[in-house]
Amino acid sequence: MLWGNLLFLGPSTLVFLAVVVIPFAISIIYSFSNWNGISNEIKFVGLNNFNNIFSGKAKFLDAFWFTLRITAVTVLLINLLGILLAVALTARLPLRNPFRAAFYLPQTMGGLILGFIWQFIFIAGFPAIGDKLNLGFFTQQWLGTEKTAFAALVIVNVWQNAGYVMVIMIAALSGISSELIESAKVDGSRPLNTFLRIKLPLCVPYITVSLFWTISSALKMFETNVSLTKGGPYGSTTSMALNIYNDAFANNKYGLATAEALVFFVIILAITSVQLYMSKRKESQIL
Amino acid sequence: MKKNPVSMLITFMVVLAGVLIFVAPLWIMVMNSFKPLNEIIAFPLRFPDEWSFDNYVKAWEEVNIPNIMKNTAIVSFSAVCGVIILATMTAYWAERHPTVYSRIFSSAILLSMLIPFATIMIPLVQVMKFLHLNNTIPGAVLAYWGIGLAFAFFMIRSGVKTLPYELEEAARIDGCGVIQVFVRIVFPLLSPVVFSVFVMDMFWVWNDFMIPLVLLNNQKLSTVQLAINRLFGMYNSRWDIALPALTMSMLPIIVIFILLQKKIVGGVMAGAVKG
Repeated sequence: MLWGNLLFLGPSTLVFLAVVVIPFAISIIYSFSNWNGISNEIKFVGLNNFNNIFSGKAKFLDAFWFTLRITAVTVLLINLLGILLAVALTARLPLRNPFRAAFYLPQTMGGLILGFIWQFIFIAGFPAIGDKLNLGFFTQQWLGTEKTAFAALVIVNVWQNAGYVMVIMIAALSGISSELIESAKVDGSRPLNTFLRIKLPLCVPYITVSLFWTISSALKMFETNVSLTKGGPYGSTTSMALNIYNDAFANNKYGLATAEALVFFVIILAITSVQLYMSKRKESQIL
Repeated sequence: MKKNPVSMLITFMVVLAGVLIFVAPLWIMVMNSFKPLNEIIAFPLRFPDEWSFDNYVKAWEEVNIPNIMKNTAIVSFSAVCGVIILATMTAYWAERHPTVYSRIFSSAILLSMLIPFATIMIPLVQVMKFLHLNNTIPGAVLAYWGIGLAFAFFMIRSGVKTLPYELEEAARIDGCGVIQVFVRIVFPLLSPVVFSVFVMDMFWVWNDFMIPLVLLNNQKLSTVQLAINRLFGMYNSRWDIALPALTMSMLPIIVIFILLQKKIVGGVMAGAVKG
């Protein structure tokens, strides 16, 4: 079977080594150096890069704090809106399927394109709406101040990803046996009560999937930052991934950027495993 | 569940309002893409006086739409086909012939799902330079093969687990070799899961920005995402070029989504259930 192993596992092993394993290993080595990405000289500086990261000398901590805040807000809103949409669109509404497709539509497009579309909406569309309705809320400089730029990114990300949670939750809700719901009804349970006490607990495994996916994609946010705010104003909306990209390819701090990239990996690993562990425990408690 | 018609009507109106708000940004973009620049800036919410394709002609030439569509199609198709072939071979062999190596390799692949691209992108450029593939389409495609392996492997392995082993055995007795069994029996049986992975990965690669940004730094090889990014870098507030370019770049995606809606949504659900 040796040749079978070689034939079936060999190509994928080579590709996986070249694209994932070797770069990952190199990035650990580079993270202890001060290489600028161009010169032939590489000096090893020990834990210097990590010191700079954790002491706040590098801007990584700011990016981390921003990413954490926006992840908290967007994940909450995406999941709430997604669940609401799923509940509404599992009722027997006319035009149910085209409606589902409409909410899913932004999910099919790249974050970069969506960010540019919304740049137009925030710069030209919102002020025009504000003028028409005489609402100051819409006429602000949406991409110009730190608070509104943050809000703008939240709006775009919720708009982009709510459809995903909706699809997952529709699958969850339509998988619940109608007999169960009928018997709850016979026992006198009100619709809201049935939803909170019976349907929602049965959906926990699916909510776990949604949370896992929305949290990890929010932590990796990059495209919408590039296209909507470019990380500004004053770097206030620079996500972790954008910060790493800037340090490596714009500021020529390769060594520092690889150290940041490793810290980024550990953060994602830690948050997603804690989240998975807690949701699995919750699941086993309920089921 | 039966509900009274009034609450049904209210739900319907609320959902309809939601749909309109959701689609509005896209609609405003398309509508304005047909107007001259001064009209776009002065009245972004108004219907165009006349629907003119002048902007589209300008944007078509400026962005070189045929070229970027061709590049993106080549990259996406080669990337996704390669990912699927590699993932199917690996998943099938690891499932049928579990050895110490295949177990370690399988877990390594699955673990790599947790590695964000930003973590490996910097040295990946070095690796591509070493292989003389930096800023070439094969280089970008190779990167997609490695990075896309995890998800495709994860999906296809669950398909392999449901395959009846007897079929392969019967084929072996009838004189099929290992490769023939794989090509003639296993691969066709896996086609439903392979197809949904194909569609999902096509969307992923078509929409991906980070890999081409880092590995395809060559204007002639621009993908759709790179070209749009460059366009916005060059002309600030030339909405009369930007909006039709955005509209054209979205068109293939929207058409495919409408055609394959059920498959796409089904694939997303399947992926979620397996997680």
